[in-house]
Amino acid sequence: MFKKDLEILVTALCVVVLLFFADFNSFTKTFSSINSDLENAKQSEFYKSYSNFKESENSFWAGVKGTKSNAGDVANVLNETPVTEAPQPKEPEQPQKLTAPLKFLLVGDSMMLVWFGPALENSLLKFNGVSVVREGVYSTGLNRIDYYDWFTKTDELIAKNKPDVLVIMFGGNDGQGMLDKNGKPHDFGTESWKEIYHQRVNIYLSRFSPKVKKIYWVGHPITGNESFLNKFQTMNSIYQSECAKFSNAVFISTWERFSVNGEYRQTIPDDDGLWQIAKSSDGVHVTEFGGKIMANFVIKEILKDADLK
Amino acid sequence: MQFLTFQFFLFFLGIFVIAALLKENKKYYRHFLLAVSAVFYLFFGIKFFVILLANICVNYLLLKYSEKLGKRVFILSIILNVVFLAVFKYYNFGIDTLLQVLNFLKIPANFQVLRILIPVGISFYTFRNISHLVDCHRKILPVPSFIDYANYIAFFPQILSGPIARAKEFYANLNEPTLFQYSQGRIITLILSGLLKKYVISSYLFDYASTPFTTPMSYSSLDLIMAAFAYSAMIFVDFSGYSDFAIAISNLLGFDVSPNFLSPYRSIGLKDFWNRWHISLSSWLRDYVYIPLGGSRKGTNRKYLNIILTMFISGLWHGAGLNFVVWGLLHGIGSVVSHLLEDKNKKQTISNLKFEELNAQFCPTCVIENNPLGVHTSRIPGGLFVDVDETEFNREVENLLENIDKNHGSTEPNESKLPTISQVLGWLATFIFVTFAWIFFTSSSLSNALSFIGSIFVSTVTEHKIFSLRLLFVIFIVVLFNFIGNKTFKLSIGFFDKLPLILRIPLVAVLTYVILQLGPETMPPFIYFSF
Repeated sequence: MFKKDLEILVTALCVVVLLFFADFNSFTKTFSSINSDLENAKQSEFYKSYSNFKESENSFWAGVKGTKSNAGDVANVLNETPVTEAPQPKEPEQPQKLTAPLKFLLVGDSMMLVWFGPALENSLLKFNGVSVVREGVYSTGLNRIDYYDWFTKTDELIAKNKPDVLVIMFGGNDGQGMLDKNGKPHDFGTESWKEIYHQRVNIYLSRFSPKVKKIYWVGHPITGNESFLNKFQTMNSIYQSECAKFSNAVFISTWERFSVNGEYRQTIPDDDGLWQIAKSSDGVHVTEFGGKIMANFVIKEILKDADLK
Repeated sequence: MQFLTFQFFLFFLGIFVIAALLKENKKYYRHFLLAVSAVFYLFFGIKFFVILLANICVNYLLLKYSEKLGKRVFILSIILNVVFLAVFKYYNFGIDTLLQVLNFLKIPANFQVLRILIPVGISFYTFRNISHLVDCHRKILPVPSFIDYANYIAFFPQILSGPIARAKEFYANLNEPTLFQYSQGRIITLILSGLLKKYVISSYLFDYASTPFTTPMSYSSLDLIMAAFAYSAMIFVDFSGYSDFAIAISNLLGFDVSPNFLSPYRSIGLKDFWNRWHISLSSWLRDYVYIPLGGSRKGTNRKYLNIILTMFISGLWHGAGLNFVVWGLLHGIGSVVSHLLEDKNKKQTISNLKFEELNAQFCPTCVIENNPLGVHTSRIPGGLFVDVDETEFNREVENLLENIDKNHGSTEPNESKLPTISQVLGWLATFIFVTFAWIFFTSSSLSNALSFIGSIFVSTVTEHKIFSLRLLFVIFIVVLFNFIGNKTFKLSIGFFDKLPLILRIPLVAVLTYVILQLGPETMPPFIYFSF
């Protein structure tokens, strides 16, 4: 081996080891679920002072970047008691329609960031008196709070923008193992996973339902990707059943709108009958055309409750 | 598997150890490299791998047969490669267009279409295939062994998004008794620079440079202008950061690679810009599109037409859609204007000098014996040297003109002198023009680009969501990087090369730590990956 290669190798390895010790916190967070000894170590005085130091250091970096960390701690974020009962049917009364001025807050993952989100925002802005705030972040959802905490982020967005309507779309990145409040992992698709995800969605809705007039939870359209088919069906059903527990939450199923005779098709017609490619090659994300179809579909649902021109 | 992942770091660490042990033994080393490239590509799926393998085999056979059977097989090979690229890359666009036409003609168009995934790196490896075929046809390159050829096409540090290294240089590196000797300072500098550009700056700019292009109605005029400049800065740091990584990895494996970016945002004029931006692509287009079209050999007007055609093809290569066509044409027209101005200046400069003097001083090998009148230099392009070998001709004239630039009023600002007002204005006009053209490049369609531009003038939004001094500062830093980057880069290489290992390790660790801390929580995708 050349001396130069060896030195580069030594440099790389040493840098990784030094970085590991410099960011020990992230390491413990990643592996805390499988190593109970770390839990004991966390109780030590040394660890506590280390954590305090890291916290102030993180604030320093956040100050430099002009942003704050959106990573959260599952145990701290999810402290509400889930709502278990569906709302009692009220006396029939004339439902009050939403009228302008209306402020919409759109939150979600890549679907809200690209194609669907922009199409929905553009369509909403065509109505008089409507304003829109949209926040979409790649590779996020309600599962990996340690990576991106949408609970706190949505809270901040609502406090800052005071929206009347909240439109949500999550799930594309949630079909993976999940940690519960005690740091115990649960494999995707198991009964315990479903139960915890139900709670997550429930807590999300119960936290924001009182703060806005209406919530629309947009479900995933049918997918051509086999590995996502079961995931989306599972999650859509969870979103639907949880929305039913809140009087001002509506689940919008887009599944059928993107299918042809109940089956997945990459090309579908828009409202004028023009067929185009609506789903990207991954079978999950929508194309620009698909985004517009989805936005129009959601707008139609919104217009059932809103009087907008 | 992307470069900026821990998964890739572990993957590369493993192969680097084996590569270091095998480098001396060329026979095993080239087999090892090919196996690694295959494994790397397999991470993107077996289907893509099979397509790449088939592509390499077919192209290698074509290469062999075109050598024996001549021009017809060669032309067929080029056509096959272009069709291969077009089918994958423009399939969706073609289907949508067909469906629109059918819809217009009231013909039912509800048939199922095939779902086609675009193979990763297809644009880059197809260009490698084409240039290889042309080089062999021109006898610049002998037909290599299959292993060497497959290594060149599938070389994993460059297959995803370039640089489009030339086969001649690649084989020279692969077959030299001693592989390219990198400097550690260069590797460290490239990796830190790549991390800083791609992970920190590009990710920071992403938030400001993406959403305004999809929903311009929601932003103020000032925000939209800022977004355009933010995108301009972002695409540079994103792609050049990626290229830094690709070059560092290639170097570590014993391959020298020319820089892909040379401070493009310090350019004065579009000709200058394309000599500095995505150099491996622009030089590819020059050698395999512009020159075969006739280059500057068929008169001035034809030269300008060839420039526009080349840039048009560059636009199409980047994507299907009218927005890419407009981007290419804008650069084509802009380059013609740039050439016109430059040609005029050069003719003026040259006509003031005696050709013999110039020839002796700058171009001793230029052919002048056919000159009946003692040469009037303004007739050089397409005139006197028309019969001289094309490549030599271009090289000689370029050398001549470059040297004239250096000695008689270069357009490049002199490092030691303050730039003139015309240079500053030229730089500003170029930067604004390039930024304006990026609007078409990044928009999803021509109508969206026009809507973005329209919104700059008619936006009624008064609240600024994007504009901030911090963003302005970051854009300024990126532009400044174009002026001092090369010098800083060389200083950094020298510094790390001289630093003892015991000090180098903690310093690199601290710098890496700072870069990682400044990075984002969620990293946006690499822009050029989609091309």
